[in-house]
Amino acid sequence: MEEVSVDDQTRQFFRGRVVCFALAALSVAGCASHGPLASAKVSHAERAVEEAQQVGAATSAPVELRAAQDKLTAAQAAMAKGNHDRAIRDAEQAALDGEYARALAANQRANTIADEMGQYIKVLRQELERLPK
Amino acid sequence: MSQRTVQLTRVVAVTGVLSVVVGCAASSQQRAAKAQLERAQAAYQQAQADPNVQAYAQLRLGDAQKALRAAEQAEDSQEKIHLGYLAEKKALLASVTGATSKTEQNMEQLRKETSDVLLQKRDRELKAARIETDAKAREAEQWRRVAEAKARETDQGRRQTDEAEAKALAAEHAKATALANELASLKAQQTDRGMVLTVGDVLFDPGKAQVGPGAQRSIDKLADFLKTYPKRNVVIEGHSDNIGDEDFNVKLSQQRADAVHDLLVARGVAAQRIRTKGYGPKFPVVDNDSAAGRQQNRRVEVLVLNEGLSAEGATR
Repeated sequence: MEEVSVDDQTRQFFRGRVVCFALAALSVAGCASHGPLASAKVSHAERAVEEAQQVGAATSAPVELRAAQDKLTAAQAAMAKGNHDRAIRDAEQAALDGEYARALAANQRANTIADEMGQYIKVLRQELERLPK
Repeated sequence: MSQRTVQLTRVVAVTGVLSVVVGCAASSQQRAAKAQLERAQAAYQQAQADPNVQAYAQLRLGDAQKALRAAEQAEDSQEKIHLGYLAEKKALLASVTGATSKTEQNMEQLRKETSDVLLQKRDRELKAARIETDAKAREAEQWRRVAEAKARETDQGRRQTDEAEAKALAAEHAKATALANELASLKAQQTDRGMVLTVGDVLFDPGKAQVGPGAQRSIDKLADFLKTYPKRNVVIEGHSDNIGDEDFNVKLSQQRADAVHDLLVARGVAAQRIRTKGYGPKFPVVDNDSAAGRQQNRRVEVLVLNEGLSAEGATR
């Protein structure tokens, strides 16, 4: 009985160690694989938001830009806390939101220019009509 | 026993509440995931149906499709929500990109149109300018024609003048011819001083200065001639034979010249046009040896000077 219990204790001890080691290894692996990825994703999101701001998304797509900025902030916070999965998700969404805001800004800009060109042509045509054929 | 029962009941209650909470949480997550997925699908379908996306944003549409597949296949609700969100945004991005590309395409068209219109405009402006220039040219042409017409008029005037001059010239020529004829009838001889004519052959009797009646016709002709040509002055030279004193002969010849002068003045020729000079026997035309020769030398020569020459200084 004594031996058996000793034997059991030893087994338990080893089992606990293995579990601990496995957990440690897993956590290290998690850090190793998700850390740089999250960091890259956050950087990408930062760039996307910056680019959206540069093309004037603050005025032409304020809601989308705000969403991107909020998610970027969340991603940065999660990153700081070491919550890489959360950081990756937020950063991915923030990057797409930023890209979308940028696309909306570009679209609006194109529309404005096209409208102006249309106006210009209208004026030109009127001037053309006034000239003798 | 009762204690145990209470404990058991507690455990069951807690477990039940927990399970309800977890169940609620799970089903709300699932609903949220489902809703998100539906939004993504709707966005994708809209993008897929958009001809602008088909034309200009195929890559983005492909991206959205892949994202949608991933979202659909996700087991975890949280993951589904996340991937659904990404798929939705990618589909929206495809739509916006398609629209922007379409607008840019339109802009390209507008740019071409603009340059076309600008070209047309410039053409018309050039044409207008040409029309204006043409009008100015026409005006200038009109002015030129007017000027030409005036010039022609002037020309005509000049031609008329020319004609008049020609007529005058012809008249003068006729006159000259007449003069020549008249002078010929006066037996004139052309010399470098002018016409020299000898009035009569046998004009004077020896020692006399009176012009004989036979010379009157010649004097008349000469007077008419001088009146017709008022610009021609005359020098009248008296000559004699060599019989007698030279001084006498000079005086005699002078008297003979004066006699012709007087006859001309009497016929209306201005005295200032006539100059007289007696040379005596100095310039005989033939020998004084015979009476006939001497007769020839007793003479008066009238020198009709060329136009403009004054009688003064025209003497020999």
